[in-house]
Amino acid sequence: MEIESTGRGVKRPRNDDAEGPLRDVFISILDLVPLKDAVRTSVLCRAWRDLWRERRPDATVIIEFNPHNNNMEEHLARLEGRKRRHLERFSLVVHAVDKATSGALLRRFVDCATECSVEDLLIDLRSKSARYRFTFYFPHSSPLLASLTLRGLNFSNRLFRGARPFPFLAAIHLHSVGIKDAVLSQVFALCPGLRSLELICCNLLREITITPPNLRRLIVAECNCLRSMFFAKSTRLRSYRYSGRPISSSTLYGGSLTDFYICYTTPILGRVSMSNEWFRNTLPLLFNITILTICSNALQAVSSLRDAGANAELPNVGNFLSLRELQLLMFEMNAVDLANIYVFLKICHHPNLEKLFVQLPTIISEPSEEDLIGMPREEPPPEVGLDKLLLVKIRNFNWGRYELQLASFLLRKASSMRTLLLVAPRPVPLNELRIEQADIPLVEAALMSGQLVVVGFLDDPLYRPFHSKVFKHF
Amino acid sequence: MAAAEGSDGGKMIVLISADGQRFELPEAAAKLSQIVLYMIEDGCCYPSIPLPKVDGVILAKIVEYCNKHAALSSGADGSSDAASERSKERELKIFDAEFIDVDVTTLFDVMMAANYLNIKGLLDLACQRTADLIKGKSPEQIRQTFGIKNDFTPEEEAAIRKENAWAFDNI
Repeated sequence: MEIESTGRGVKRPRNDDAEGPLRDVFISILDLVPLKDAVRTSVLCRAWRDLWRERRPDATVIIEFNPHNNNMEEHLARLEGRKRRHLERFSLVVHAVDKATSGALLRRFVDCATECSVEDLLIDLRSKSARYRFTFYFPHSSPLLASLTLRGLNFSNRLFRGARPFPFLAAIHLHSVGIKDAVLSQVFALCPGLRSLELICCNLLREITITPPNLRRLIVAECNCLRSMFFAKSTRLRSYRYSGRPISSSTLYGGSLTDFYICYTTPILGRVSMSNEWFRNTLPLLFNITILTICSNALQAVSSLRDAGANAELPNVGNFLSLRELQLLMFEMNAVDLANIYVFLKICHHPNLEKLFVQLPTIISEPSEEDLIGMPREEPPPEVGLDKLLLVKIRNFNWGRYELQLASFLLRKASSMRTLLLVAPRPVPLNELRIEQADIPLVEAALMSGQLVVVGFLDDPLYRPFHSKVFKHF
Repeated sequence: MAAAEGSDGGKMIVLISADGQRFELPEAAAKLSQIVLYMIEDGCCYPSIPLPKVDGVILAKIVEYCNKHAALSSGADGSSDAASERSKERELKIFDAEFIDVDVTTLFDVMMAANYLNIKGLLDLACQRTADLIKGKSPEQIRQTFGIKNDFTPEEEAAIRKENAWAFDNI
C-alpha cells in the first residue's frame, strides 16, 4: 500500500488507515451517512469492506420524557430492542409524570441503558413527583461508565455489598441530588479514576471527606447542610471552587492548585477562630494559583488575620506569586468592606496581578452607623503590588461613596492600568458624584484619556472573569 | 514558557508541532483538547507540550479553531441574554462552515489531529464534512475524492456488489 507524501511530511489517507487508529473515526463517519451510502463503501478496498457493518447510528439516545407523548413505550421498545448493543450516551430528562407513570417504567429506561454498557449517563428529573418514585442505586451502573450527571433525584441508601469498581468513571456531576455522606464515601471507594466532581445543592450532605486520589477539579456549591469537608492527604486538586456557608475544612494541600474560588454566602459567625486558622494555614500554600475568586465574607476572615497578629508583623499572610486574575465578590460595600480589600492587598503578596474583577451588590445596604458618623477608616496601603495590573472591571457600580473610593484608589495606585471599566446600570452625571475633592482631577483626566470607561451593559469575552459562573446570585 | 502570561493576562500554553513550530494559546483554548487538559492538570505542560504527531500547518488550524471556540464559548458573564447566546451560536456555525471548507488532504489531517488530541467538537465537524463528501457518490467517485486504491480483483468486487445489490442501484 503506497504512502503519498503531501509535501508537509504528513501521510495522506491510506487504505489501511481503516484498520488503524482511525477505525473508530471512520465508523462514526459511516454513522452519519444513510445506510445505502455506507454499504457502498464496502467495495472501496479491502480495509473498508466490513466497516459499514459496525455502524452505530444510534450510539446516542436522548429521551425527553413526558406522559402526554404517548410514544414512551415505543422509545422503550426500541431501547430494549438494541439487545445490549453498546450505547455511548444516554440522556433521560423527565419533564412531567402522570399517575400511570410508575417508578418501574423510569427504571426500565435506566436499566436498558446499563445493559447497553452506557459510557455517558445523564438523568434529570425535573418533575418532583418523579423524584419520589425513583431512586438511583449506584453499584448497578454500567461497568463502562465514564461520566455520570444526575439532577433532581435521590440515591438509594442501600449499602454497596460486593460492588465492582468503576475503573473508567472520570466525572461525577450531582445537582440537587439526595445523597448521604456514607453513600458518597462508598461511591468514592469505587471510583479510583475520578478526576472531576461537582456537588451542587446536595442538601443531605453533612460531613464529607474527599478521598479520590486522582481528583483534579472539585466544585462544592450551595450544599446548605454541609458542616465540614476534609481532604485526604493525597488530594492534589488543580481547581477548587467552594460556595456556601462557612464550614470546617482541613488544610488543603495548595501547591497544585491553579484556580481557587471561595465564597461564603453568610458571614462567619461563631466560627471565626476556626476559619482564621484555615486561612492562616492555606493562604501561604497558594503560590501556584493564577486565578482567585474570594468573597467579602472570606475577606473579613483574611483581614482579621492581620488584626490577630497586630503586634507581631505579618507582612505576607498570603503568597500569590503566580496570581494573574483576582475576582472579589462583594455582598456589601461599606467602610469595613473597603478596609478589608485594602488589608487583603496589603498582606497578600501578589506581584504579578494583571486583571481585577469586582462584583458589587445589587441591593444597596443601609449605611451603617460608622459610615454615617465617619468612623476612622482603613487608610489605603502605600505599597500594594499593583504595578502589573492592566485591567479592572467593576460590575454593578452604584456610585456609592466606598465604590468611588475604590475606583480612585485604583486610578492612583495601578500605574500600568490601561482600562478601568465601570459597569453601571444607572448613569449619574459627574458633577453629582460624591467624589472627594482631591480625586476630581484624577477622575476627569482618566475619563478624558479613555482609561476610565463607564458602560451600562457589557458582555464581551475579553472582559469576562475566568470564574464567570457565580453560584450565589447577586 | 508554557506558563507565561498573554497580552490579556490569561495563562498561556505553548504547543510544539512535529516540525518544531511553537504555538502559544490561552489555557482555556488549549483545554479544548482532552489530552492537553489532562497534561495541564497533571502539571506536565512545562515548559511546553510537544505534539510529535501534528505538523505545523495543521496545528495552526487547530489553534485557530480552539481560540475561536474558547473565546465564544458560553458560560457568560451572568449578564448575557438568550439573544446574545444565539448570536454567538450563529457566529460559531459560520466559522465552523468556513473553517472546514478545505481540500481533502487537509480535512484528513485535521481529522487525524482532532482524534489524536481528542477535541470532540472538531472531530465531529471533520467527520460530518467527510460524511457529506461520501453521500450520494459512487464507489469510484469516493475512491477518487479520497485517493483510495482499489485492491479488489474485478471478480471480488462484483461478488460484494451482488451481495448487497440494492445499495448499488442507480449509481
